[in-house]
Amino acid sequence: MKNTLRVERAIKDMTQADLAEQIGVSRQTINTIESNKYVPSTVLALKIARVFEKPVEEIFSLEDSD
Amino acid sequence: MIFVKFILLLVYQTLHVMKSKFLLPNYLRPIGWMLIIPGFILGYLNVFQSYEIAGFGLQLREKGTLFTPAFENFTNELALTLVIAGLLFIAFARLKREDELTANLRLNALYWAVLVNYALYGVFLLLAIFNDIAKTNELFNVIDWLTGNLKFMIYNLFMPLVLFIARFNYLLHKSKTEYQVKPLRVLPYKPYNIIGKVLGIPLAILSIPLLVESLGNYLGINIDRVFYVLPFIMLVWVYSREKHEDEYINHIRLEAMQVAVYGNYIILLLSNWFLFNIAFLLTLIFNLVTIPLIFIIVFRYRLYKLNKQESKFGTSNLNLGIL
Repeated sequence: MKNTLRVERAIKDMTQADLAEQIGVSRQTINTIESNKYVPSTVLALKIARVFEKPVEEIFSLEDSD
Repeated sequence: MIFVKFILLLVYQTLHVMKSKFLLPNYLRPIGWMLIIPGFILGYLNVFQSYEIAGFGLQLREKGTLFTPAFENFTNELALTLVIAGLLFIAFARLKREDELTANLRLNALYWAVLVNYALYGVFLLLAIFNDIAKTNELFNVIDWLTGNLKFMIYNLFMPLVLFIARFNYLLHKSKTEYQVKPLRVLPYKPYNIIGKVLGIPLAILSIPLLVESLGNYLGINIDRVFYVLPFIMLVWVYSREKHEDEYINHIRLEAMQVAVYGNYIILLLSNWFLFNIAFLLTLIFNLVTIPLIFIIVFRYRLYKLNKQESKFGTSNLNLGIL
């Protein structure tokens, strides 16, 4: 699974720490998700989508290998 | 039999009361470090130098037996309690920032630690066998010091927690910016899960009369041989995939391991204070299998409950579960 978290953050001018604070996870967790090493739970993905005010599919999408 | 009943009761309690999400408050972590340092020093002195704190004992009864000593010095009980409680505090105190990924890493590290602990046990066992056959002088002394007198059973008391703490901290702190996400390695269903089941169940049942018999003999000799092999066979079962293993079953697997580790240490701490001499030696032997044993019971029980749910609602297209 890939995601556009980094881009979305840049648009909103947010740091990883800002985003982490808003959804109640650690900064390292945000970074691990951004580097595609961790697939977040549905709950976490929805929380992230809510921060960026976009549907989940616009931020997270499946890859061919999934 | 009272002992067996006691264990079963504890397992039952563990199943129902313990929630795997249960963690200790954050402030206990530094306290844990303060406990293990005197604990390990006292434990070392007690085991390797036969040191006992003078006067730190109780006249329990007038006449003693091998199971119920007349006089008991509590140095070893104190050392073990300090070490285990301290390690539990360090291992299971909440992080400053807990989230789903740290919870995931914790479970992963636990699963890894139990596997590595038994790998070490395998090495010890091989060394001990080699020791028995070869008896080469210089080497013999070193190996004997490490493995003689069933010392692994003592290491086994704290090794899973030490390995877990090391692994968990490695996953958390190896990189400052991100966590290390490692895939869970599980053996394929065929043939391992089947081998584990087919050999594990009869061997576990077989070991019960041996346990009782050795209680009767006042010596843990007979039981040892089965118990040396039993953990490995159970482990094959624990570490092999289910027929239809998916994300959810994988999660149940990891949670069951956490319950198993908690249960294991509750049993250990209690028997540490209530069982002495040979009875406690038997606990040490029993302790070689408690983690995989509780794991299998908890995991199977939860899979059984899951299956029952599915067969109730699974055949219909209507989702009756929401009614």
